Amino acid sequence: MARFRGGKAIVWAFAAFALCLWSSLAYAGQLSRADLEREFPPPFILGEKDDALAIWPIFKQNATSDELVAYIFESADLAPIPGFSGTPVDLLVALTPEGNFLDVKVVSQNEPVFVDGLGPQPLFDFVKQYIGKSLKQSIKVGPPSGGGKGDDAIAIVDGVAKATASVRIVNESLLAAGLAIARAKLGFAKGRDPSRAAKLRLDVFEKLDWADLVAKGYVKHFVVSNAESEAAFAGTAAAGLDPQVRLAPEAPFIDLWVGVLDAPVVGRNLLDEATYRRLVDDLDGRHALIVLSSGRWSFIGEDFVAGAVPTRLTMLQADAPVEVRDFAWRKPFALVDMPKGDFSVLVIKPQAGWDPANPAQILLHVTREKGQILPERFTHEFAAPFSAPLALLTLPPPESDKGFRGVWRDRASDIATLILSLVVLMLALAMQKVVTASPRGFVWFRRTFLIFTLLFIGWYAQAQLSVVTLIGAVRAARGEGGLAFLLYDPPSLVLWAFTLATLVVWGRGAFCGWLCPFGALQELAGDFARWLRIPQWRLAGAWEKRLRGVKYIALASILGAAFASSALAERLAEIEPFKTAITLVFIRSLPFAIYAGGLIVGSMFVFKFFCRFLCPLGAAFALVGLARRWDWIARRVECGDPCQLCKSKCRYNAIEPTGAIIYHECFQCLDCVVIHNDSRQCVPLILQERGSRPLRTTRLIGK
Amino acid sequence: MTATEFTRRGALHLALGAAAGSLGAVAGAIPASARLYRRLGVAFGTTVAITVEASDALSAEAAFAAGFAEIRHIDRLASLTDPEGQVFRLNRDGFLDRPDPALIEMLEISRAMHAATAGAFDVTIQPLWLAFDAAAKKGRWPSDREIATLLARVDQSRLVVSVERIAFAESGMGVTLNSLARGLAADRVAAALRRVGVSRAFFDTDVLGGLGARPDGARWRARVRDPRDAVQSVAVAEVAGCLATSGDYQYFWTPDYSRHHIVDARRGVSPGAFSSVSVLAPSGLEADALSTAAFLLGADAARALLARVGAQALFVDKSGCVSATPGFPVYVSNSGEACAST
Repeated sequence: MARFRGGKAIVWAFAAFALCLWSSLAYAGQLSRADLEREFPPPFILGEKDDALAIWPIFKQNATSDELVAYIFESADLAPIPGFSGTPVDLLVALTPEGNFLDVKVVSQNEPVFVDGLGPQPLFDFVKQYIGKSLKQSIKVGPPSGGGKGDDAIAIVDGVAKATASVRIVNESLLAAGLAIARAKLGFAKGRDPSRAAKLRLDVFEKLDWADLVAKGYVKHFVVSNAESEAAFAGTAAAGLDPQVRLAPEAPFIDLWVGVLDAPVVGRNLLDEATYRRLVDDLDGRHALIVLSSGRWSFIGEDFVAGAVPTRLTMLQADAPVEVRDFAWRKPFALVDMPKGDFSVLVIKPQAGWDPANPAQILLHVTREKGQILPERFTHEFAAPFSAPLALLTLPPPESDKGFRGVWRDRASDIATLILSLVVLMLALAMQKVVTASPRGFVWFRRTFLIFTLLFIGWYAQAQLSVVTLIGAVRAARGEGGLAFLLYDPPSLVLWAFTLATLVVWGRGAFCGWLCPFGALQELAGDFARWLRIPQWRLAGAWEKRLRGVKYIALASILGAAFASSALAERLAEIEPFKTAITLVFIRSLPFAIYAGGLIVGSMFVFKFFCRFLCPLGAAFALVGLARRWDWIARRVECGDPCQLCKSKCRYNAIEPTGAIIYHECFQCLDCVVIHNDSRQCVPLILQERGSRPLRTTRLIGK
Repeated sequence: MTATEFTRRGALHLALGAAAGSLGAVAGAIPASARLYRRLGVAFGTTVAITVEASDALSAEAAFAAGFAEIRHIDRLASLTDPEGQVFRLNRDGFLDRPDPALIEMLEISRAMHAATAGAFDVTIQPLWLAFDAAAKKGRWPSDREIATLLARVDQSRLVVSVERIAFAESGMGVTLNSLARGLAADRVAAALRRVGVSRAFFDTDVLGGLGARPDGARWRARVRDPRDAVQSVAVAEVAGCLATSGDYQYFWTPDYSRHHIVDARRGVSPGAFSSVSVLAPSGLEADALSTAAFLLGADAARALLARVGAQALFVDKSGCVSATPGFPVYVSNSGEACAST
């Protein structure tokens, strides 16, 4: 055995990886106790910091007792929503026990528009508007200098011209952080933890028409008759203003239907298949409600703005508002028996923390006007109860399993299965002689393992490694965001650790050839093509070499872009079909599905086309694999001179005419090892056994 | 904190204290290097506080960390709403495996109180309490029959307690340790502060207690508030051991304080004798348990129980008249009303 010199490199790789993780976990608020005491000087008394969340109570002496005035926190600790700079705007917030904003200050911000363009003052002014507003109101960002109107239910803060998007992000972080406090300390918004919201099941579908959807409760119906609407205004000056009440008291005034449109049983029935896929793709993880109104009153009024937050319809869950926004989706619906009327697709972001499993209320703000000129306005809110049927939902695990520890506990059996398979692979690669002893047996071992990789590692455990993680690493290195999310994805983390370690032992092949689910899918497609006797196309040497370079260009572009803008980098990373083929199992809009499918069809003609020529992750592994300390594939002096059998049999073209292995292109399929050890295939061995030619000294490297 | 937790905000207050001002006044009496540090926090639905004498801010921080860790532990353990809390899990699941020793400790003293009050004190009162609270929020009150049905599920002897497991003998039962947790927290804080080397301290976990003497050599003192006026005091007491107060004003369902959070488990009604009882006992857990027990028993039986266990108490009856056991260390009495019986 050659002297193994990989130890140091492994240690370094792990150290770097650990550093990335640590630096990302360490990202948090910035203010110390002394800083906070300066921000809230006497008569405020700063209390003991909470042990679970980065929250501090502040008190004020009131006669004989010290009363809790507010909880203070930094928004970046609770809702680190990155802004345009990639880092979150960090706000120091004081929230009273009743859920009112007592104070909001900017701690730090790198938003380009508030650094260079407008200067920071407009942002300071913007956040001041929250003081006095309540989390129990629906707070939205209005147009600049709109006068900040609003009422008890809806509070409107003025936006900032030329910085609309930045202040929206600020609004979102404030509300998400505030809701986290409300859940933990203020006794409302319980069950509104975004990480614990029920998920929609994508496997529930049956062909239904509109009447069935309503009958089965997938679409909820809410009616208020003319008489009921009158009753709501009874006793006010607005009573008796509606002549329809006398004419048709039982006729519907409000006639509203609501359903969760991204649930397949609703969406795929209402939209055609392709439109539904487009919708899900556009939503990108958000939820959408279809709201249809056919009564006399509609939630779409003259003040309705496409793409904006509606003013006549708001949503409330656990006493706290859930922001719904018009999605400006005007695609036609396919169901013929759908009622005619105004409709809108309303989108709900994950940060809003809406839990489809828990009851929510859709508030319909109905206004009556009295008088012709400068009319007096009377508003009543009708509350339509709404929750998604449990049959459509996957509920989160019990509360005690929160945090990444819970995830590891939950997935213990998946992790164990994965580790077991890695041990099997490690033994197989370490004991090549044993595993390749029977060529036929080896083919089936490899095929079984690849099927396991595709089904278990890929589609089931969702542990497809991706270049997106490298983008995250670049951002973490720049101090933006981090890799902490990997802790919540144990199979991927285990696989990353194993892959990094094997890079210095065997090179990229252990991952690329055995553990990559998309790679396995391609190889299985290639095997299938061979079985179909589809002719395999081998590229000429020069073209092969040129094309191999493409993946390095892809990698360089993606990592380069990651330094400039992570959004761009993530768009470029779509060269990887992993998300489409493995994560989403091809349930994605057509262009993506065609691209991924095309690559697989392509691999039936040119073996593992994507892996060898395009894969940026493979390129990264090839580069790190240069640190490999061990040429572990046995060769003979005859290899290359004169024997070219292995070279021509290598489906990856990873053997030079000289017989040398090109390790950074080697996928460790072990085909050449099988040949080398098989006295019926290896030409030098055959010749030796016939005695016609003595075997020359074996140039064995490795075992 | 939701309404299902008792709110006993400002039951008593640190007389030492009316905080920083008088701390400054005593500063001359202590070594220049040592001074008092005070830290507030939120637990048991109210403001809690720890005051320690320390040589510098750093050692004070260490003491606060140790003390608040104990408070949080007991607060979470006994919380009726925190899904991570053991009492919440016991009430939700009907059983609890591997209960925290602190839980066993509280249940043990509760058994003694249950016996001493002939069943008036009962930690399984929770179902009744929840029904009262829900009804009151809707402006109603359960009928006698409803109360009788609920009382059938209230019986501490049907709570099976062992070191491995606590379980209810039947479904629909529930436990509240709100009459014990603050007292135990006070004891735990005292022990934690001693562990980190603090020799003078005063703490308020809604049950008050002190370590050592005040820096000026006097005993720690606490104000007992007027049950009908949070700002007025009926007395300032010297705190030797721990002082706990049960009062009808701490959480009530009717504005005349006739229906409130202290409920006699035998009859399902709030006792009418006192508006508050403050008990001074060697430990916080005893003080807390005895103050509720005494409140439930009424004047004569309460005095008998307190005499038997050697604890002192100050009573304010419904008419506002103040009385005390002979040994209750009143430092200043502000009582306007004289009691005929004392």
